[in-house]
Amino acid sequence: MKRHPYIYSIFIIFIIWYLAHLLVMKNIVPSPIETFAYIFKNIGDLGINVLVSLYRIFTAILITIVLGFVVGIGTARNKKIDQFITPLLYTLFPIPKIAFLPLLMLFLGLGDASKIALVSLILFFQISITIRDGVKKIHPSYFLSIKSLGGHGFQVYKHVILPAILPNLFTSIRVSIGISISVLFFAENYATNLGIGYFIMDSWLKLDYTAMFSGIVLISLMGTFLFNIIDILERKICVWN
Amino acid sequence: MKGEVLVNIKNYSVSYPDVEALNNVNVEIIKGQTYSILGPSGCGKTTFLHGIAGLLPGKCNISGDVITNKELVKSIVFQDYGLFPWKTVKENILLPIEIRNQVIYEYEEDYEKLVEKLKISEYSNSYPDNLSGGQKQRVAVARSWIMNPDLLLLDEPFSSLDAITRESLQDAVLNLYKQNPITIITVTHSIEEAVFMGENIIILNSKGEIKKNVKNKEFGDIKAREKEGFYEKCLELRRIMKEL
Repeated sequence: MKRHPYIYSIFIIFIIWYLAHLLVMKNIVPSPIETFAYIFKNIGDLGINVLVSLYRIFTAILITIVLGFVVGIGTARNKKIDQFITPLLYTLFPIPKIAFLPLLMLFLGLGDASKIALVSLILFFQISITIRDGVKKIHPSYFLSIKSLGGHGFQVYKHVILPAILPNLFTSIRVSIGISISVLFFAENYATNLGIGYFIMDSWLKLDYTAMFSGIVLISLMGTFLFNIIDILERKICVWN
Repeated sequence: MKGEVLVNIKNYSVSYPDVEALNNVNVEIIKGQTYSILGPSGCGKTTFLHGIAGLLPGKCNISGDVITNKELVKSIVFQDYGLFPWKTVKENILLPIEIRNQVIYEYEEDYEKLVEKLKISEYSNSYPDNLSGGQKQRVAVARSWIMNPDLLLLDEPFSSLDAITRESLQDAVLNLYKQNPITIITVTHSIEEAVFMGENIIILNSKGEIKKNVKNKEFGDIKAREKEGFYEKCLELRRIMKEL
């Protein structure tokens, strides 16, 4: 049982869910069995929606990591860049980026680009700040050590900065996954007919609660799948940690 | 007969924004000899070493010269080891080779011999955080030795270790030196370590000035600690340091 910690949590969720099904109106809260039967029956249709959402999340996270790296490392390593960029980050971070969705749709169109851009925009600030703080917290002795070995330029990034901030980066990506799924759920309610967010809202509007619950289950499984991928990658890459 | 001068330090002064660290230091470091830099805390010992290594921070005000051959291969062992926790023992030791873009494969044999001599061969795939202080310092010594440097700088390398571990590491470095007599400069605040590790003992006072440059005949004997002459030398240095 130790190797399958999810069994406990899934079991508890199913009990609560089933009790809700029994105690609340049965036609609003379908039973877990009914919901899973629906998922297996419509796996093709649901699978496409999940894949579209996963594609949007992966792309958004990848873009954000690249941009976050450039801005985070730039602000941490260069005082002038820090003095210029950090006030901008702090000023723009608290603005609810969801408000920009109409603008993004206007500039990037109604397709995937605007949805990916919205998720990236939301993740960008926290990933940049996490990377910046991670680089700033690297102990100066590591820089002295690599310098003493003749390392400079790219070697400092390869042997010190990148490995030192990796654990922080993985934590940041984990938080980002949670946020990006929530944001995407919102973004997929506009100008699309694909994606798990769209599927849930569409099912709700059709009063098809079994389909809606199937979407909710899949969004949860999607998150679990992504979190597990990050855990596995961290274990493989940050072996020393 | 004086040997080849490896490092020539002339009228060398270093000050930080709020304190003067070294004051008009003049000394010649001769190839193949060992030096101990001894002095009270804050006398500029580490600044002296970092000055030779080219590791002084930009905020320092430096005057005078440290003249070395540009081809000179220098390596330094820090008190806090300077190992990278994300690299295995082997990766840490071979890092200087990787940084110099040399073929690691060609150093495999040297690596095996070195870790055998330093008794760390069984930890090749371990990470530094899983090693004791003494083992970490052996790895740091191996990393600095793998490049076969012309000049090895030891920055209070064993001061955080217990007495027995410290002595075993001093023995290990002396044994490596006997097999390959490179130039070694050891910075220390321990009189015993200075006598064991240096055939030349340079004493700095609290103003960062060289007060004495003592020749040490007790150096080179792995069993020196069991002999009277070693402790007589320690007492002589102790007297000099008390007079500073």
